[in-house]
Amino acid sequence: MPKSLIDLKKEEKGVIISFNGGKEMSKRLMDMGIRTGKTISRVSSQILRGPVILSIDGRQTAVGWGMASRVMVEPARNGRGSGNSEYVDLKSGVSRDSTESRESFELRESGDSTDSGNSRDSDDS
Amino acid sequence: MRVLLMGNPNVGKSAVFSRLTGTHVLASNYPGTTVEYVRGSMKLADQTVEVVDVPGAYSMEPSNRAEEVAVRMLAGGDVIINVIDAANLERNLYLSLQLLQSGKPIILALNMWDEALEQGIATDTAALEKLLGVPVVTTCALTGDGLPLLKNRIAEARPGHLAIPPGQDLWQTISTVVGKTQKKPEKGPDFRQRLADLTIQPIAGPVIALLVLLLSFAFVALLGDWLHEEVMAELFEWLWMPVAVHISGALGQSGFMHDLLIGGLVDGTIDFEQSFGLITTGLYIPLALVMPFIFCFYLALSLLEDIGYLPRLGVLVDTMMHRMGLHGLSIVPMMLGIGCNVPGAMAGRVLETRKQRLITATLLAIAVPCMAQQAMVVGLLGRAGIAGLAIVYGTLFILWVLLGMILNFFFRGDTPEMLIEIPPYRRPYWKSLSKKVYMRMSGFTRSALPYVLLGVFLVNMLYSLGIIAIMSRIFEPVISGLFGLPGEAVGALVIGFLRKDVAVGMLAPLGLDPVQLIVASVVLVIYFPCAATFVVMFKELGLRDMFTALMIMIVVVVVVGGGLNVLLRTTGLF
Ligand SMILES: Nc1nc2c(ncn2[C@@H]2O[C@H](COP(=O)(O)OP(=O)(O)OP(=O)(O)O)[C@@H](O)[C@H]2O)c(=O)[nH]1
Ligand SMILES: [Mg+2]
Repeated sequence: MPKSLIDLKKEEKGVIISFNGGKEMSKRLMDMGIRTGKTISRVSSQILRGPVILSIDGRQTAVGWGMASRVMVEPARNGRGSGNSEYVDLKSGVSRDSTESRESFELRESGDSTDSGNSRDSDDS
Repeated sequence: MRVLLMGNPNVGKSAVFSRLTGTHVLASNYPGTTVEYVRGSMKLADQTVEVVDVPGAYSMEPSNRAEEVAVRMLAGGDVIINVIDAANLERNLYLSLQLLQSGKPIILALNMWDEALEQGIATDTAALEKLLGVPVVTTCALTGDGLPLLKNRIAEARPGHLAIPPGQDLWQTISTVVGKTQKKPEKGPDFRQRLADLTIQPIAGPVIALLVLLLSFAFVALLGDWLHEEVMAELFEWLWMPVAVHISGALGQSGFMHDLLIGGLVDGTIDFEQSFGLITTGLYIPLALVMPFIFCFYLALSLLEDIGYLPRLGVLVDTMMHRMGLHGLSIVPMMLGIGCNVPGAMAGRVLETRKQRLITATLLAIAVPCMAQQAMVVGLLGRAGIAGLAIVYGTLFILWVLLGMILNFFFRGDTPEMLIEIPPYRRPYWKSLSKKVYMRMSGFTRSALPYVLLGVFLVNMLYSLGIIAIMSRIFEPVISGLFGLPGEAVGALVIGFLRKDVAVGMLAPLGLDPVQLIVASVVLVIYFPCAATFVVMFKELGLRDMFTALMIMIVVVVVVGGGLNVLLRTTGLF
């Protein structure tokens, strides 16, 4: 069930599914890489509605309480890998597992990226 | 040819700039260090090219002043070196794709390569080069690894050929690119990370912050005092006193030139603190009294900066700062302002709204004394015991908070919520740390020394022309009636327009009692910014807002100075 970032418990993970805020707010968040489909985990929060600190791709960002309350996340099921939808291979639409071999680096595609045009972000589901 | 260094905040653009040009600029471990572009030059195949360090930006649609500068700069660049944090490729590529769309020749510098390797991140740079269609070089600006190669390949910079299908979200393209080029090991927070995270937890965080601030304060006060007393004062006494005595004798111990160069003799001898000649007090104030404290302060501040503590401190004080119409990030201008109000006011550019910038600049100018001034106050008041100092600092802190709350109430406009990247803690690299402290020290001597000398020169002129005497008589009612100070204190207030440390120094020969010293110190902090601060305030705020700030200042100095005088006298605390 979706809940907002502030309802996430400390160290709990979730996938961002939507922003309940204005365009301005979501733009600022998106510019900093906080966007739908990303898996985040909550690092801490401050008392008296201070900023919420979240971790995304191993980097931390402090987000004001009000803003954080408008970021909706789907709590990640624990146990199953890590639910790191940030490594979605858009071509197949399948999450790449960390066990996948390094072979994937040999995927030398030409510069055109039209193949990703018909792919979908995993958050659509 | 003009080469622009562009990229997200805190990815090492300034560090790369210093490496490329040999011109050192400040690099610190928090986003928003560079708020104005800096030009330099480098040799490229026996051609001199211009290199520009540009403030960091997350996207080409700016959300603060510093980002606006970045967006404006783009049009004027011939080649762009897009500096990227290799350990955070995905987010960084968002700006890269926007830069690619500008059609300018681009070369990618995958900086912080050392950190990426340490974290076990595998990146296929050849694949990245192919996908984006621009050269990609890995660098570590801290050690200089990869920079010669970056320089060599600037000639290969070209507009990328990554075609983004119309209507497609940039992030989708980025996910594809990252998926094909980088692999990050999956790991949760380890012990070190958890320890680091303690500094931003609700209870441990503030406790640690208090300790850090107290330790820093003690470090600056104690080591600064030791350096002053045992090193600089001694040096002056041994090396400079004989020279000064000689000159004094040669000038016949009196006369206009003697008063100007040596100043007045106290009990027939030269007193470096009180004589007020150009080569006595004029040199003693900046070099022996102020410099030791400046050095200790910048050592402590630079250490906190390079480790990456400041943004965390910002997170902890965010709630309190919102009461004052600011948010946590304003702690950065405030901390810089404790060194010198000038860089403090400049750093206000990372704040998003006019209201925040106005409040920050006003608070800095009124309630945050610079280190030079503090050193003098500590020197003067410290002798009368710690209680006097505690009253001065306590008054200023309460004023800072209260005034912030009042300004928040009266200024229209809003304060956005805090949104800031918290960089990982980094091991300070002693070479860049010492370089930074050295830079700030030489910045101090270059800008302060001439002004201090000018100040001392003016003091002498005003005295010998009898202007101070006239002004004392005119302002006596206000100064003694309101603040309980002798009429001559007006001289200090006049010089305070120029340099506050000299102004505090002028109190020394007046023989003030402790209450007068406390009131005078506080009044000198509040009443008017020094000339240099005045200039940046005007540049950053504009005429109208600066005028507002000055009006507030006058009201505050009357209320606080007068109030403190009455309070201390009637309670008989001193
Ligand atoms: N480990 C490591 N640290 C680096 C490297 N390059 C820079 N740093 C450090 O990263 C921090 C940020 O560097 P800056 O040069 O200030 O970054 P910037 O991109 O100019 O930042 P803004 O001016 O805020 O946009 C500083 O503490 C640097 O010492 C690198 O290659 N490796
Ligand atoms: Mg910089």
